[in-house]
Amino acid sequence: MVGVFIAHLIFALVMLGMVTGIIAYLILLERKTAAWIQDRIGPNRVGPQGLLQPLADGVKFILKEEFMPIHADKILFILAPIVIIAPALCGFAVIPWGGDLAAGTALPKFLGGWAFPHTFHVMVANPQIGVLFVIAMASLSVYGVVLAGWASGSKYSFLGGLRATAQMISYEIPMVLSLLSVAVVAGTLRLGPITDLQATYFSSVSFLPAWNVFTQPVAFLLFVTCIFAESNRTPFDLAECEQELVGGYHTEYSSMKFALFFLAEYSAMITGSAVAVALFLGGWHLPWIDQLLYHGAQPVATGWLGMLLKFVVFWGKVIAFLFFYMWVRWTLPRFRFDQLMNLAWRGMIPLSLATFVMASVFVYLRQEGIIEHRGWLLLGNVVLIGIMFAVTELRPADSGNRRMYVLNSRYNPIPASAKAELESAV
Amino acid sequence: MDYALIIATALGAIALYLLLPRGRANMVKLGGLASVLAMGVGITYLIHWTAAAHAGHTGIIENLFFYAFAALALVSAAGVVCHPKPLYAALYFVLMTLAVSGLFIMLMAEFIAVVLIIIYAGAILVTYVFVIMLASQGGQTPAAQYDTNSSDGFMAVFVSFVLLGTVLQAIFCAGPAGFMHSLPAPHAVAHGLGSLEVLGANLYSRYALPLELAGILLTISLVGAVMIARKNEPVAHVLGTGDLPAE
Repeated sequence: MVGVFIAHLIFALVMLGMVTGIIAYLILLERKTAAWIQDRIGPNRVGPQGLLQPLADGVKFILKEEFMPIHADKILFILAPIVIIAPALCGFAVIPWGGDLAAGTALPKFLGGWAFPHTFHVMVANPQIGVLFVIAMASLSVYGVVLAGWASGSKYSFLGGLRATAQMISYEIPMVLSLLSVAVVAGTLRLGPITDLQATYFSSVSFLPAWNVFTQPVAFLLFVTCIFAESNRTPFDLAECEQELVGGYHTEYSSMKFALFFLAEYSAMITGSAVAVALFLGGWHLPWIDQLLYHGAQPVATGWLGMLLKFVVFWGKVIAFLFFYMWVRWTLPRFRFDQLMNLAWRGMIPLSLATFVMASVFVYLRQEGIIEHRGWLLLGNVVLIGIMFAVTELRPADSGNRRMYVLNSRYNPIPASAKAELESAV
Repeated sequence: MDYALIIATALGAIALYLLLPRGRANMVKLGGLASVLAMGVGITYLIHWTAAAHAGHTGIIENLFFYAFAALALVSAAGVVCHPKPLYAALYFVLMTLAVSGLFIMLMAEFIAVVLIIIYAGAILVTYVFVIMLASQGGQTPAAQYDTNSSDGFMAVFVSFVLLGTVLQAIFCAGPAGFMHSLPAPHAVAHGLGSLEVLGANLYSRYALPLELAGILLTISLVGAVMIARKNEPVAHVLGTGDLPAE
């Protein structure tokens, strides 16, 4: 009992250290990626190849002046950075990052050599509501943004907060539905078993691993889009777009409080990527090479060496996904606000509902024993994409970019017909 | 009749009445004192009661968590009705939801706990906060009179605490033995009652009809929301101020 508690404590500390350490270097990676895409060199002055830059940034953040605007609501102004970072870090607790330790695996000698009596899940916590916990923490992260925007007493912050709230509420719905369509096929909400089910192949001859990204590509696409929107990054960074709102909801923040917003954004990114990896990209599963190592699919329960391998594979995937985040940020331009809302409410929510219904039908047919193979799910997804394009063609043409007529304008004068109607209305 | 309980309820009523925001002299300090007294009496009573119920056995850690969450829930519930700023009231509501979901987790009802957070804290209260933000813009701007003063505070406190007192008497006067008898044993809860599988199986077999009806209701309200939100396209979108040019 005490051993299990200590093991969980160690896992929690390892995760906290990993996440905060990775955040520091993510900022460097972000700047290096930006430089690479824009054909620059990037930070290269502090340490070899600029590797000590995160340290310099941290010291700079701490030494900067703390500033609070006179119209700010003091309590909420201080509370906001705390409220935004706590759920962002909490969400990581239910991520499985090392499979299982087999029963009988002993701790190293210097830790007492105590052996686990049962199979041990390598994660901080394994509640039966895993996926829902992730969703709950994601839904709480809105408050930090709202409070920061409101408490600053500044128009830029306020507008940024409003935009961010509307966006995060809208994109939460397709995110939840895409997560649920994965959970309903797996038949559980625990993240561990959902990952374990993916550590196999479509069939013995096939070389395609049975990851959820291959069985449910539509859900994956929806989920990835939503986590981009949830963490307020380009192309969804309307809440903090520099050209319009200075810095958005954190305009008035400085010093370490601003750093906390930065940390929260990056830890939300890490948690989002970790959930994407665990639920869609096979988690710790190392495809193809596991057939050489284990002569078959990778086993769920292993000893310490196997766990270490899984740990490396999992974090490798997460970092690759994080790089994808940055790649997108420095490649795609920002949406306009009405495009953003249209995408969520008229595009993604109906599509995610359709995905969810299709996954439920698959589960029903599997229960009845009519279809067995996961390939049917992939086929269903392909059909769904086809239907989506057909419906898009049939839908009445969107008015798209509407022309805004401006009174007394030289460029967009009100047309004569409209003017007559307006006058009659007035 | 249980006099300690009546005293605690009455003290609570007085405390809440004094704490309610009013335009005239505020008696926050007096109200705070009364609320501390009320909670003190209540907690002492509860400790004695549980000690009697378990024949001296007290799981000290679980009790500590219970008292912490329960006190947090009570304080934040009082904050919801007593804070003069609407945004703070909404945030106290969020805190109360979190505290109550903590209590649910202690009862092994993880699903209810998380759903409480997702629905109340994550959806409903975000909308509240959103609306309040739109209504009262930013920072230290003083709120309107009707937002800061409670209307009919006395009647509200009186009725709610009479109800609370009655319910508490009904629960606690049966005595520890009678009350514990009517509850499922803790290990039964741990091994199924709160679990997702049992909940799902119950929802889709015993309560299938209510569930379907709720689904239909939600669909109707979704369609209704779309209908309400649909804009009547105006002839022209006009920006700018000033009168129409006089041809």
